[in-house]
Amino acid sequence: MIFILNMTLFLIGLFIMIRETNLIKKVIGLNIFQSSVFIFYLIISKVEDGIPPILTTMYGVYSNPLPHVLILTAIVVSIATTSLALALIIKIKKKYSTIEEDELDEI
Amino acid sequence: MNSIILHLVFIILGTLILYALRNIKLLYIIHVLISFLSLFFSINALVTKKFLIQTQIDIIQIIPDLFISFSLDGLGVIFLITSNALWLMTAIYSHKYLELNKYKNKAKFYIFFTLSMFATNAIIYSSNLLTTFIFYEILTISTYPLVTFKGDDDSISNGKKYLYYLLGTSIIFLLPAIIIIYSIAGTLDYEIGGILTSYNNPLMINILIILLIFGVAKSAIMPFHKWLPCAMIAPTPVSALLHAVAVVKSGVFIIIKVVLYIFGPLILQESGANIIIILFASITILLSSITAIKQDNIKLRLAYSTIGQLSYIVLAIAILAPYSILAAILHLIFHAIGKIILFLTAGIITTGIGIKKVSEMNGLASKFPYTVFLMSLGALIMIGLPPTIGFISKWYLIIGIIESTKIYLLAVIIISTLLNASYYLPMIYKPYFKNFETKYNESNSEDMCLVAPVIIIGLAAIILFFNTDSIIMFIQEYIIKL
Amino acid sequence: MSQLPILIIILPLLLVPILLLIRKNEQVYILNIIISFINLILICLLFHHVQHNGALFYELGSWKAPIGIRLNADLLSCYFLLLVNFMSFICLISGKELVNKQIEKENIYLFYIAWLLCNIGFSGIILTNDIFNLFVFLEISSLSSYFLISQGNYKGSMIAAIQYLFIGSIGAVFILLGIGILYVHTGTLNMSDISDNIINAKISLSIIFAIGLFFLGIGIKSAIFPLHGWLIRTYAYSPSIIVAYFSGTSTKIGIYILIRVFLDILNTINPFEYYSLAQLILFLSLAGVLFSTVYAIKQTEIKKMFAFSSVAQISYILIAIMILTPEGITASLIHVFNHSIIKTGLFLIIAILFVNNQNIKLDDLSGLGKNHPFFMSAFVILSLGLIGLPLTSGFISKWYIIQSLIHSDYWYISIVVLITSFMTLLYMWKIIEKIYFSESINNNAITILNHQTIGVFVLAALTIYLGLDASFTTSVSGEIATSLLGPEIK
Repeated sequence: MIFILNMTLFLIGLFIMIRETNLIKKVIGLNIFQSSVFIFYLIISKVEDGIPPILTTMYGVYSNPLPHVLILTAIVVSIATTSLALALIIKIKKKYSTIEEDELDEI
Repeated sequence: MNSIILHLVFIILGTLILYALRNIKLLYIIHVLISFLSLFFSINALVTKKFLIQTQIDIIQIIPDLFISFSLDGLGVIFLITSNALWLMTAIYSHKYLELNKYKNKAKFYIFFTLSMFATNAIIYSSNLLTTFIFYEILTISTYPLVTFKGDDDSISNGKKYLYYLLGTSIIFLLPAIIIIYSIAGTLDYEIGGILTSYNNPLMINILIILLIFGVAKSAIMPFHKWLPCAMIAPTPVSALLHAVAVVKSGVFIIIKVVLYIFGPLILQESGANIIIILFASITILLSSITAIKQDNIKLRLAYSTIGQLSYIVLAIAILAPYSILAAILHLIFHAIGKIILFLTAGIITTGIGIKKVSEMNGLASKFPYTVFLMSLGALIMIGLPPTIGFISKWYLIIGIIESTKIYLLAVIIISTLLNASYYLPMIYKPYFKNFETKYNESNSEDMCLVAPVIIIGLAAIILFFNTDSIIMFIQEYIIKL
Repeated sequence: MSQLPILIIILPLLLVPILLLIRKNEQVYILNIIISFINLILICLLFHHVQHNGALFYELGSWKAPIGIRLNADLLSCYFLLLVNFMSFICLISGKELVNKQIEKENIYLFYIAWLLCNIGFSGIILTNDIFNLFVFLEISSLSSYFLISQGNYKGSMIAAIQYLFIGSIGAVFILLGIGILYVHTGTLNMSDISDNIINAKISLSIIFAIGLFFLGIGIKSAIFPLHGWLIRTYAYSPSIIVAYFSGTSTKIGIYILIRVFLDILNTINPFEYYSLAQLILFLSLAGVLFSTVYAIKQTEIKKMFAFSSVAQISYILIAIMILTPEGITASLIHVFNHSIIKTGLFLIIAILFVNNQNIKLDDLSGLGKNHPFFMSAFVILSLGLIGLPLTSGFISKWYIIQSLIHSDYWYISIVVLITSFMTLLYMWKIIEKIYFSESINNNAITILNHQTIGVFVLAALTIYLGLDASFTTSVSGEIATSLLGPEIK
């Protein structure tokens, strides 16, 4: 069930990226798109009846910490991408005074 | 160092020397010298019987188990001497021709001419299909600057068609044929009796033959013959040597070698693939003769005649009778001699008086006696009338046809000979029996420097008529048993 | 010797902060060249070692796999590593004046740093044995390339950069999701472990979904038809030297990831069998060759013509891979190498001649043959290589591709390959004719410095050398193909 929700988010993000012509909105779509994949990793890391992965003597079943770590890396990458995209958008705005894609395409 | 390698390296060195010395005035002497020494190498190969030793020299391994390798056999010696001797004559001719026609950039001419002859010699010396293919392509590329030598729009567009036809057919047809043959036979070496002998898929053999005759477009089988009329835009020495001797004869030479030494007569006859060649060659003979009649431009008429004559050779080989194979080899030599006489004399007439059309050739005999006589000799050779050498090769072709019981081909020969006569005879009687039109200025006359080489070739043609036996004996000893 | 894999990545990486502190363009450039050269030597040593002693593993931080990240240098990695770094080096040597003319002065040192980072990213992708690490390095190289593209001084450079950013990020996220799904099924991120464990996994819809995601992501990266649109736009608007650099490297990295993921990691589950994926890609590539060659002939702008030509050549490589025989893989690897050299050379020549022109029309090239005869002879050699004439490396790759096609069940595809080879002649010859036969128009302004020509001539000479003695490419490719798919069945 939750995978279906996740995939819906995935598709929403993808759809925003393709459909919108405003560059900022595309970046937002990119973020949603990437976040859906992060959430996917989080979903798969949860083990049934598992507790947060801090070593104790009482419980034996831990949730998987590895995907969380992976997502940290991926989030960093996503931040870098977003910041690069935003920097480019600022420069484009300065240069062409528009950030609508169809107007930009004519240039 | 082996003499084959010596010969080839020498020609390449000649090209480099020509490039290095490109600004000196007497460059043509070097060109003539190179061609003379090349002829010397060829005669040396004949005299010292180099071709008896079936040694193969492998140079570079291009693809694993496939080398660029050279060797010489009897068939190669014949073509070698023919092409190099005619190269020498054309070299002498081209100096005066370039000068009289005020061509600039003579160094480029000599360099690419030598390079083309290098490629031709390398094709003759190749001992496997890959080497042949490589130098076949190099020949196309090295003749391109000569075809577009004049540099005007007409030359460039015709040169483009020339290149596209030749490179296109070789990439699309010849390359896959070679790769398929390699997959089937595991080798690409020329061997007596063929390397495909144990293969018994007649459909594949037929397909390979079709790919072959289309792929080797230099043999000008229709429908891929258009490049040859396009190449007539080149200066006459180029049309003469390259497109009457070197390039087209290389194409036919390759077909002869592939038919005899890759496929082998046995498997071709079994699978009936030679019928396909016969079909295409016959159609080409008839269609080209008809087209030649319609051409008024001298060089174009000669070009279409060449297409037909080449198909004679291909037809002769495809019949696979011993006498027809003999006829094919003889016609290789004799047509080369006859055609080059025709082209060179056409060039003298164009240079001397600016006439390019047959209809304007009236009464030229009074102004250009030697030239017209030689042109008539060439025309008679082409028609195949005795006492010319053209008659000998046609005679053996007819014997070969009768031997092979494909009597219907006699009709093709007779009809085409009649057609040939109808477009060659005007070139004989117009200069002699019509009156000279006075609208041309009479200041120009034939330049003996241009005529002299053609006289030598003409003498060779006459001598050959009386000495054909020695050639036939040579062929019998080293190539086929009659 | 065992430290070599990590050194190849770490050495340039350590240089990056140093370069950031040094702001002088000259020094940055020289250090960049030095480090690239050292890297190249290390790679040659690594290659030699791997060829004779087998694959080399290096565990980062001495954490044993599958817990730690491992670097794996096998023959496939070393082959691509050599190619990518060599192309980078050649472009760096030839690129100094081009960068000075085209990139804003304040940004030049950043430009070189980004170039270095991009190269580190490529090397990391090739060397890593951890699939998530692959994603990280992929993003490193992609981010640097977005920056590099935006530095062009053409009207549409930044727009092209952001559009490439969006498409590239989509591709990367697809790959990320695919990695996640694979992790779910195998519990490990180590490539060798995944290939061991995946046999045990139940082949369900999710694995097929993962395969599809991987394919889409890789397809975007390698500009497979019909996902090639970004390539044309990017090549038209990037700085000239970057086009030369990317044409030989970035799409080839996509091919590397394809081979690595589909033929090495997922080999045991035969990912191409599902929904006839192999046939689908095969016929898509076939359409790709036809369309892109036709488009290339119709183009009047040179850079776009070469870009379409690149798409066509990548499609040849894909066709050769998708017939899934060892011969086909050999042929594709040979063509990867040869095409990189040829395309980089062609784009370099265009870059050196027309640094700042965004729109290089056919007429701009007229008469160059007379002004720079020696230089344009390299152009002719490279064009002949692209067409596939004998004695050039292009002929060797064409031979192998056609041979592998004829031996497989898809012999009829060789007809298309041959016809499109001929069509390559059509558009390349238009250019050569213009160069040698037309009168020059105002070409006195182009001066070519000596060391710029060195790079171009090295590439042209390599094209001929690899056409005469192809033993390096053919033997290495053959070995790689055998190790991936097993020996040829004669």
